[in-house]
Amino acid sequence: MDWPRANSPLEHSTSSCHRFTPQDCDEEADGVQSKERRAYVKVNMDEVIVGRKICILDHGGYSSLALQLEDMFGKQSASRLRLFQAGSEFCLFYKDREENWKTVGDVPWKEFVESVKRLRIGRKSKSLLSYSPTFS
Amino acid sequence: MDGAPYLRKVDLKLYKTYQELSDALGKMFSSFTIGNCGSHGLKDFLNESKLVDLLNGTDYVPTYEDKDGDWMLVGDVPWDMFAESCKRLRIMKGKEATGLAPRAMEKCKNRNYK
Repeated sequence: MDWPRANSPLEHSTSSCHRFTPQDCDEEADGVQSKERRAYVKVNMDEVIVGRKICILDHGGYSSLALQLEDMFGKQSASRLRLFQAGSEFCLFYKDREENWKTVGDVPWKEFVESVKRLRIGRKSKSLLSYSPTFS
Repeated sequence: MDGAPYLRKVDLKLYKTYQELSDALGKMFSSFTIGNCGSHGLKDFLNESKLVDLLNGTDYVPTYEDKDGDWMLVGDVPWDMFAESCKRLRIMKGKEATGLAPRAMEKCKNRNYK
């Protein structure tokens, strides 16, 4: 039985986050650590108790992000997540630095990476306006 | 651990890796479980998709409550980041971890794990 070691590369990523090891600590350690810390964002899915964390810097674009989320949460639904695809039941939202919840995909990827603080997978049938965040 | 008659305390500073923690937890709770959580450690503890493979609910999933009060799956972040943010551990029954119940979430929040 193996727990995944956090410094082993993810299947779909360049694993920029996971190359950080304690041996890399020197005078740059604080800066590296805080950047790495900010790069990890929580992902929750509606009605699923346990959340996950992903490193946003592992991804170069929205499709890569969608792939990882599919791996993590896809089996929660018989029709899978199929994020960003027409006909999907689910939508991906993010909380930005101003604490506003927005739909993922509206802004260029780099802008998204700099502003994302948290992610949520929700059902399209629920209006974003009526969304009362269970997760702060 | 769900189903165990009492709680245990662990000092995360004693461990440096998830593997070490896994081994320690497996030994700690081995007497309460058969099969999936034997003395060899928590079996199939984590792989990327394991959380959502636990359809029969007999497996256990390691989760933790972080400083924000959110319940997260153990193993997604580097060890040091986890050790710093983890307030409480809960080895959850698979069925509860993957499902879908506001009721279960309330149990999660209200149960007084110390």
